[in-house]
Amino acid sequence: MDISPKDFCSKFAPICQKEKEADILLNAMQQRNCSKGDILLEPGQTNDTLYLVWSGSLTVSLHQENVTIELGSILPGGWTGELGFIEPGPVTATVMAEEDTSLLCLDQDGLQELLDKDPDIVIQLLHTFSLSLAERLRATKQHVFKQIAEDNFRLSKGAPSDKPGRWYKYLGRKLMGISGERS
Amino acid sequence: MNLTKCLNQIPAFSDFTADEIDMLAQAMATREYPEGHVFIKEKKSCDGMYLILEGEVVVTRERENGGVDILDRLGNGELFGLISLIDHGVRSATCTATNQVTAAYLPRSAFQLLYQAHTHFGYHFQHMIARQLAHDTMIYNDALMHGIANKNKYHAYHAIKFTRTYKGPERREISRRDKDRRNNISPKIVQD
Repeated sequence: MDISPKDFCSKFAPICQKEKEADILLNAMQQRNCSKGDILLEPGQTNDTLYLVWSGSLTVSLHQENVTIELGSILPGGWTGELGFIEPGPVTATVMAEEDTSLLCLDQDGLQELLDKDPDIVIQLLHTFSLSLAERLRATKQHVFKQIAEDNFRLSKGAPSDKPGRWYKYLGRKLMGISGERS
Repeated sequence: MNLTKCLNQIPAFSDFTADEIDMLAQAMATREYPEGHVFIKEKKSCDGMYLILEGEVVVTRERENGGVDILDRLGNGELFGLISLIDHGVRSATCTATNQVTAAYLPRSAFQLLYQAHTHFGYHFQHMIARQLAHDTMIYNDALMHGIANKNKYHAYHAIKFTRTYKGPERREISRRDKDRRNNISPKIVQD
């Protein structure tokens, strides 16, 4: 797979629009191929690498006991692993190759190389991911709050209640617990 | 509380240099807000970030069938509205002062000026926002999974309860006859 900076710019326009920057980015990245059905990321793993889909597609899903929630597909020009790339840590969703897929990978060493060569590219990268994360977070919040509303409606048998539901209690604990700096 | 000193103590700004902290402090406007002041309204857009220097802010969300849920309580040295610096969408919760609050406000316009003029400041700030978003996304993913697990338990509990109480048509008939026998109700004998 030989990728030119021009092709990179046309496919990943939100990340990079100049061929010179694309060339620097491509030099900092590695290529990886996945066969259909290969699991790229799954809960329990730790990840610090960003994956850009060059060709093929990936599916993202959440699994809990016997329930699976399909979060969607990542098509060429899309990316995954940005959570771990920004904040290295445990993987929360399962990412699987839906078909034979070619990926471009950027790990923390590659990020450092980019920071040394051209920090503006990294800023643009982070800005793009932040916007994408904000959009995804909004969608996930809507999903969570919809579930909370259904849960509360069921528990209160349809009557409005002032008591916080179990989900809110859990969410509150997590929100306050995870950012240790909070007083 | 002194704004520069406060910014220096916040872990989220630990990557920032002293000059960057000074620049940020100069771009922020400090003022007092009365009890009940609504900083951010749910389903409305917001155009800046707040840092609480003194006081308390409650984060709430309205329920669909009425009432309000408290999501969080924020105190001295805590930030809110950070995401609105880059995201122009509507907010998912309301932030209200529960007492008199002294807060420093960074408008989006001031942030953009700083961000465009200073590469390293831009990088540190973008990284901080991205990190905050990554944290929140992980929490909400986790909450989603927690909710699904609870829902499964609810359905499993009711499935077990159902199988224990459900007797099927044949067993239901037997239990009816048993009940009749216990109540000394003998079957009617029809004589010709």
